Amino acid sequence: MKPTQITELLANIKATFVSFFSILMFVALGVGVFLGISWAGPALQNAFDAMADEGQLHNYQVQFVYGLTDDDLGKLSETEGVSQVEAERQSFQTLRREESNYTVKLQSLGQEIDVPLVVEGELPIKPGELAMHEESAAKLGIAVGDSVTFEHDVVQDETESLQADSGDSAEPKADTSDGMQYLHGDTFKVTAIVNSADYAARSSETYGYSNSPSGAVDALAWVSDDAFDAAAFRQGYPVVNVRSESLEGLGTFGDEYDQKSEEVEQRVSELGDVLAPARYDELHDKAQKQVEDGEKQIADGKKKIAEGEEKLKTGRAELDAAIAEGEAKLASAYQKLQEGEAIKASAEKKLSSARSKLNEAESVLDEVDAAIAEVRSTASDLKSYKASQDKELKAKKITQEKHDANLDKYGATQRSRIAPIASAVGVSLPSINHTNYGDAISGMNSAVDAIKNTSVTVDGKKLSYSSARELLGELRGEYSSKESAYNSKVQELESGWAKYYAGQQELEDKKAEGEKKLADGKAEVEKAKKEIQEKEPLLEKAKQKVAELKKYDWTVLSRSHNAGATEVLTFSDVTKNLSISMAALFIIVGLLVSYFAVSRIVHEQVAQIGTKKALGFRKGEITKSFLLYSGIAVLAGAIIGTIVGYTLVEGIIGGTLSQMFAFGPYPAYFGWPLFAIMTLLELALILGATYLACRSILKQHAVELLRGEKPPTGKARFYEKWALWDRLPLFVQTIVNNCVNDRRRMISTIVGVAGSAALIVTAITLNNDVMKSYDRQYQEDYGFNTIAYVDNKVEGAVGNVDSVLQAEGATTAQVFMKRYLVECSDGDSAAMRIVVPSDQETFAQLYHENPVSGGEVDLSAEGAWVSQAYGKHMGAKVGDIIIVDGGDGSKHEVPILGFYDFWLTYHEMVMGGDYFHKEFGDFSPNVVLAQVGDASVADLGKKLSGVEGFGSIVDDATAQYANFEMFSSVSSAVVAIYLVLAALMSIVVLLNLNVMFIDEKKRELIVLMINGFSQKKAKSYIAYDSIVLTVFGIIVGVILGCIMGSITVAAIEPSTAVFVKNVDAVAVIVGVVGSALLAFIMGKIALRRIPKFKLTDINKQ
Amino acid sequence: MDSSSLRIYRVIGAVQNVIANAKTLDEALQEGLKTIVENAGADGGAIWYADTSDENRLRPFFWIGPVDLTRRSHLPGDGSVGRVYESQTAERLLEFDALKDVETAIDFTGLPVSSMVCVPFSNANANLGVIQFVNGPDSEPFDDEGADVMEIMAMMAAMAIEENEALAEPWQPGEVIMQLRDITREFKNGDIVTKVLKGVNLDVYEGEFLVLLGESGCGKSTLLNIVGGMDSATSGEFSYLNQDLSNATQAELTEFRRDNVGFIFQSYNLMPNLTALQNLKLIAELVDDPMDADEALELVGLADRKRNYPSQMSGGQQQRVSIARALVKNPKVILADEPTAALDYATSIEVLQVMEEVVKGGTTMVMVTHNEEITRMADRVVRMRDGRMHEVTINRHPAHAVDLVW
Ligand SMILES: Nc1ncnc2c1ncn2[C@@H]1O[C@H](COP(=O)(O)OP(=O)(O)O)[C@@H](O)[C@H]1O
Ligand SMILES: [Mg+2]
Repeated sequence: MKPTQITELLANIKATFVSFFSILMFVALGVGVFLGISWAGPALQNAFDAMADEGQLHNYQVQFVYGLTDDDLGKLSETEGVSQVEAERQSFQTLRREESNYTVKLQSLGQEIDVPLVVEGELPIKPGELAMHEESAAKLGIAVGDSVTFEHDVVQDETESLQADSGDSAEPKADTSDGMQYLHGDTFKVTAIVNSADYAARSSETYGYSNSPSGAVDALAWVSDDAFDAAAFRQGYPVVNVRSESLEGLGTFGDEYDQKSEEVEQRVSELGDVLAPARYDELHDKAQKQVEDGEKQIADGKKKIAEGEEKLKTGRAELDAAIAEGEAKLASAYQKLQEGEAIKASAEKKLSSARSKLNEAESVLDEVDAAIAEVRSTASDLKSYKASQDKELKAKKITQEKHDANLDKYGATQRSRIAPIASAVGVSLPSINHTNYGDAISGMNSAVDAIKNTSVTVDGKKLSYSSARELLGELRGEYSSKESAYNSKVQELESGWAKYYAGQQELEDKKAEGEKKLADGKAEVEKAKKEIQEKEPLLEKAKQKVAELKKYDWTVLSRSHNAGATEVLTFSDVTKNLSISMAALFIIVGLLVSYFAVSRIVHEQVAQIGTKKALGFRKGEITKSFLLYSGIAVLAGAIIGTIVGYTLVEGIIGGTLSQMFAFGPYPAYFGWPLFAIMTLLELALILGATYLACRSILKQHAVELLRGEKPPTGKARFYEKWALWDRLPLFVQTIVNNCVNDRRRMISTIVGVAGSAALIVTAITLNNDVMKSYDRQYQEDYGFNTIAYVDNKVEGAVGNVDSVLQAEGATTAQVFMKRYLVECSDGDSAAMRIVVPSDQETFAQLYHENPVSGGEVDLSAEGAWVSQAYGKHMGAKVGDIIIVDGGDGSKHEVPILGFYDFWLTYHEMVMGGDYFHKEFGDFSPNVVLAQVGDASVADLGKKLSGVEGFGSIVDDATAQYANFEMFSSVSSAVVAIYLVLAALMSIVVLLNLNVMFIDEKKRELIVLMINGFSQKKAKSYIAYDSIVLTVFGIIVGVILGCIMGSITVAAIEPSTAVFVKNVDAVAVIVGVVGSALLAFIMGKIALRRIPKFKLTDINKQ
Repeated sequence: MDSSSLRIYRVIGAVQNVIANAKTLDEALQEGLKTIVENAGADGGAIWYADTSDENRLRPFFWIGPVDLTRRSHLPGDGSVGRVYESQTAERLLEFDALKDVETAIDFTGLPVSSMVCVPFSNANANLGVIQFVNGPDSEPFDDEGADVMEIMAMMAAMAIEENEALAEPWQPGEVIMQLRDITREFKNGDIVTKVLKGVNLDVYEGEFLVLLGESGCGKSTLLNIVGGMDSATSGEFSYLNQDLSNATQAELTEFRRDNVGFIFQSYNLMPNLTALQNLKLIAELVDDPMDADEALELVGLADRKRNYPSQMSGGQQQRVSIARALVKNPKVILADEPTAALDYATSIEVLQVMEEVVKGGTTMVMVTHNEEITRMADRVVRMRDGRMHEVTINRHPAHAVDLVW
């Protein structure tokens, strides 16, 4: 390139800056949008990698159903390529916050791997401290300094041990059902708000699965390792994180990472292939030994029972014999005692007769003695009275008379006292007065003697008092001897009875004791029997377990299984797809624009080109200058576009995407290769278009060029022979001939109009169809809008929840619903929700499965119906097998029976209960699907909160809406870009075309105007053509737009979804009106040239 | 008197008339021949002068017919013209077979010669040359009667030559740099084929100022374009310095133009986005050994305008820049198609002056014009008619541009 050629090129650029700028701008747009969107993926990936590096994200996660031991860890760390190994403990806890239960996944803090990134506060160092995931903390309203208390473990998976209650086992209880056993304490102080590279995506969908009723993990938290009870993990660690040196510094999403990762993964898997079976053997042996021990115990027990029963038998006999003997002995003793009793009775009789005789004698003697005593006392009394009276007299207390009178009186009284006695013994009794006291007293003594001499009758015998007294003594002696004999007899008898009773008691005791012993023995046997009875099913179970004990492999999860990474990849894919379709679009538009821009320049510069040719410029040189022209535009455009893409487009997309990830705003990405490829591609294509645009001109001889372009050659067309033709108005004929004769313009205008119409239609179709997918799902497929999750381990819970909902006026259906992992054809795994109705009739009311292939949905068939996206994006066909990971290490081959309409953004699979039961085992519904009317889900939740086993209730329709809005927000950006592009395209293409056309027609128009055409008429002469072409263009564009719309919709579909791809009426209308308007405006602007025409220009060459 | 005699007299009268009015001998002979050919209905004719400086070699000075005899010459006694000159007696070759007279046949390429009449002419002092007539009316051979007429008329013309009247210096053409043989050019427009050039035989000589003159639409530009390598002939041969360009590709033609040809267009065709100087430089850079652009501008008298853009200059100035542009690459030949057509008289003269200078500087110039007056500047004038060369005049006394008047 010669200096002046460059000067000329620059001058040319300056002179035709609008065209130059159009090319530049469209290249900038194409490059900017493409690179911006394309780089959005790598930028996101880099952001992920940065977080992964900072948080020391594991390269692999090894999981093993039987747990990984320290031994395993040791071997893992020795594996080539493995540089760090760290075990992780996990437990699911329930946290209650404001009436709602949240399932919290509690993990041990990684020290070297998966180290949480502190947002606020300080990482826990003590068992009672906890770090809360940032997103979770926000959701649950938890801040640093708060205290949280977990209710109980969500895990209720029980694994009975054979020796669970024998207590003599040292077997670890890793699978213990009591949640608290996982943790030393249940209350924690929140010391930090953190993020984790393991959970880079914000959506709680990426937290993994728990065994809570909804299967969801609602929140994440970390505690120090010693917060966990190590005993609960004695069997092994559930998860071991692994980092590999060789992957250090490699981007997670690069091919190199994949490749190297696979190598290490291979080795880890190989290690697993050795260790897993060994572990299996160990467990199997242990279990087998347990079974054998159990069997031996049961056998021993049975033997003991037999022995016990034998002992019981002989014990009974012995006891019976001993009782009989004792009883006989007692009977004879009783006999003897009865005889003794008779003897005692006769002795008693004799004693009593002796007694009565004695009593008679005693009473007689007593009477006599009494009389004597009376008399003697009377005498004594008289004496004492006389003495007292005398004393008083002497003391002159009384007078003599008084003294005498008193004595007289007293004497009379005393005389009457003894009068009866005297009469009885026949003694006369003088009166007693103060004179004869002395006599009277001595008289008394004689009276006593008299009495003594009186005879008495004792025992029929008349006896004197003294002999009677003797007899009495005799009688007394006799009686006392008899009495003592009797008493000894009684004594004897009493002791006999006592002995008898003691013997009787002894026998009773012996009997009781014997019976007790027997009963004890029996009880023991019973107990032993019961034990065996209890142990036998356990043994059976244990046996079954041994039989069922499966050989599991280690699950080695590379980063591609990390939910955050997957999310990143999904968005990268979406942006990649989008960028490709957008790039295609922009390149096509850019090509058109460049073609027309260059065409226009070439067109305007025909004479210059001719001159140059004439002056000896080589075709190549002229071409080169045009190519350089475009090339500079492309390069400048590419650079500007790159800047725009890097800053603006990446900024917009990054702004949207960063909200979905924990790492927040991240730097934009720039990569030379794509920049170079895109620039070169644009360069190649636009240079191609440029070449095409100037090729035909350059082919022409200089003379032809200098003469100006050949006017369109009019010639007779076939239709001109039609009768109809002649009847058409002249302007129609003119339009038709103009169009037919200038095909380039016709095609170009149609393409230009069609392009902007297509862009508008595409943009609006894209915008509307995504939301239409949502509407379709909830209008045509789902009859429900709400999902209640229930703990199906609580008996009757589902039914209770169901009833509450029905009482609130909801239509309901009970289903079993759970997420499983399925293996995809590409070797990765995908989440798949399996839905199993418990009652097909109610299910059919709420879930209209509209089949897209495989015929009518039949839930009694063996296999599953699958959501259409799986078929579309995984390339699955009816009849293919989906391998479902049972979650417990089991794999199930489920044949695909058909696909159904499904518009949400995840995979789903519906199968009949019978088939599910057959393939996956027992199940019971854990979800109630409900169509609730006006009732708010929050209210329903409150009503349900009392129902035992109720988990949560979700307004599914609203939740999904948010999801769709996200896609919609991505598409809105696209829409805006498309619309801007449509406008720009119409400016550049249509305006250029119109201007070129008017210039071309300049002479014709001037001639018409010279001949009296008004400006208006001259304008319409041009405009009619344009209108006709615009109409054609719009028709073509609308059709194209509908097609492109569905392609673009398909492009932003994530691999888990299919979106509706409908012709959108609004899009068509806006497309028609919009492009018509644009065409109209561009036409109007171009037509402004006509009034500026100078009629004298007709003479100009 | 029969009608043929009557015609003869009428022609004779006409010849006498033009000869009488002619200012120079050259003109008299030229006009006489024209009148004879036109009126007697011959296909063509030529006037040969004896070059006294070169053994009386006979050289053509003026001829009518679609042939280029410029370089042809006959020594006395050589060929029919030479024989007639030597014998000084008219010769008739009525049963002429061109194949037998190879040289003649070659000279008359493009004009099949079936009969010929050659008449010597002289003045009192010397044998001056030969007048040659070719073919009778409607390309039929001359009959005796026709031959008589030619002879008589030639003699009459010769008789008109005044004694001692000196002939102009015979013109010695330079080397042939371009050679066109039987060039035809047809334009197809749909079903209609327009034959524009119908067999042109023309040589361009080094250093000459050749003017192509003719009615509008006679094919001058078409011919010039072919000469300039801007267009290709439908048939015929075109060579430049013995390099056959008849079947040259576009690229070859481009190279040809690039290295050898300068163009001056009626509508200047300067690059509108470049200054005068830049316009020159743009072209100068195309060749290995260009003239200095400033110098070229100076040559056309526009040194002070070098920074002006075309739109800032008058038409004449633009055309002068255009000439400078043609000059700047030191081309072998400059082609100019009606360079003054769009200019007023005064400006035209300015431009023509520059061109005169250019030719004086040794550059071959081929100029197309329909302005008769301009032919006075030329070394050689080719008049075209209906796609053919009609007459060729060797102008032995070219006029200066300033002397032109129209
Ligand atoms: N490209 C062409 N197609 C058809 N006819 C042409 C073309 N170029 C020239 N002609 C015709 O050839 C004839 C000679 O044209 P041209 O050489 O330009 O004449 P002029 O002697 O005026 O320069 C004209 O009648 C013109 O109409
Ligand atoms: Mg012309």
